[in-house]
Amino acid sequence: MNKNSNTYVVLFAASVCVVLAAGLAATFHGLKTRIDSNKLFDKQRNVLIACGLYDPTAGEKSRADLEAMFTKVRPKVLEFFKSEVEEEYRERGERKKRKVNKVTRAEDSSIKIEDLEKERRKNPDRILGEIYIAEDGGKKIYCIPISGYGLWSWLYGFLALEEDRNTVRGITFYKHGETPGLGGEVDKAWWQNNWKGKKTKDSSGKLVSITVLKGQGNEFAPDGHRVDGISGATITSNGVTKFVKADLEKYEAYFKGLN
Amino acid sequence: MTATVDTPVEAKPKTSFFGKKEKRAVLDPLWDDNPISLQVLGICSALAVTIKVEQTLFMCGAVIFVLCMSNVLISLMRDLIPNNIRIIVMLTVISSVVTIVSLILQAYAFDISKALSVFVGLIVTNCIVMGRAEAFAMANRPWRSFLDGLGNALGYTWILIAVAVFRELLGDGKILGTRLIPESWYMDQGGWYVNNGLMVLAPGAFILLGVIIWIQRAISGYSEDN
Repeated sequence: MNKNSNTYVVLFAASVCVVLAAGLAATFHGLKTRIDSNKLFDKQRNVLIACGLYDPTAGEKSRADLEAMFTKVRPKVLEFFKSEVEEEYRERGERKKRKVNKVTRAEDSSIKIEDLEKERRKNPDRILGEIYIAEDGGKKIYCIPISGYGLWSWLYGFLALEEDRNTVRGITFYKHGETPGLGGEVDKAWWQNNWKGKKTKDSSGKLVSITVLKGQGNEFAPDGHRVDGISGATITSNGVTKFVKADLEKYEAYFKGLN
Repeated sequence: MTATVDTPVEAKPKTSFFGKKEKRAVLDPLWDDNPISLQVLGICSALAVTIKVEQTLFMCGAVIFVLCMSNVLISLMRDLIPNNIRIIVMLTVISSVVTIVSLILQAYAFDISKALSVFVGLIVTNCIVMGRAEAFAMANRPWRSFLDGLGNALGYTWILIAVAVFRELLGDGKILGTRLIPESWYMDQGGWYVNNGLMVLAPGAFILLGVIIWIQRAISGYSEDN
């Protein structure tokens, strides 16, 4: 057959695709269980880091040690429910009101944490979320998942709050596709350390969340509620501000029911 | 009368296994025709993954595997590949091999695969891989292509390791995580020494790489004017 005829080119391209795709699928299938267990462990490790129970910069611990530590953390699945609430907003300096659908109630769910992803796929309409409750020196630590869009990618991480559910204990990111050296710095300890001790609520108890801003002395967010941004990563920083607030608002429905 | 028949038969297995040409395929890219210092290819990853020696070793391992595999696969297919879609076919083969490497890293060296982040995937765009496929594997037999891939990957490897050793030593005082510059030398411990922060950043790698290319070219006598 003529090697440059259209039929040959199409047939050749198709068979190359089929053969390579089969090879890739086989590799993926063979390694899947190992990769999944690595990913699960990485999540657990990050929960421990966010909770301040493990500090890799002070000395690495073995996988077995960390897995043993994680058995003391209590994971829980929550179900959230939305309802219509009136919200105040500003438009050209004018105060206006509108009705929005927001998470207002949270309940403990009977779903096990291992089945969370399966359940989410099965019922995409249900709002489910996990929470990790750890303890340090008799005080509770609440660790919630945070995720949202940065510049290039969806970021996944954890935010741990102290027993008062107001003070930040730690933040980590375990999965993202931001530019290494710029937005990618979100997974580095030097930046994450800036979050420690910040408050998510103001003195009246209203949730104001935490804003990532340029400059340590920036005036636009009240003191104690701002974190120094990363140079060259404005969009990632804005994304983090946005989704941390959204996730805190969601979990507030659960926190306010605790006492 | 048998002598005329015997000579070519005897000479053949010698050259086809590890003769002069095979030796050159491996050794040339290490020094005289180094992909980084002479052809200045694959610089992106040379800057990005050389902060720590350990990371660099894994990256180089991945590149060695990808370059050898893609060269062999493309060489095996070289008589079948239609000329007008050869670049696309090469890219498909290379990216499949890279995906396999990335999966293996995720399964057996998860931390390293996270530290290397996008750069494993970016081996696809490493000019050395594509360059060898087009310039060598398309015209040579699998064994020779394998050696050519190995040689080029090793040429890439030694330069990267040289850069990484200096960066980790000067930027962090360690090599492979072992402290070489004693803690007591440091300023905050009452000593006189401060780590060179520039070495941890990309410009530090750029300067080092420039110096290495300069030294290598000065010794090997290469000049752009030739």
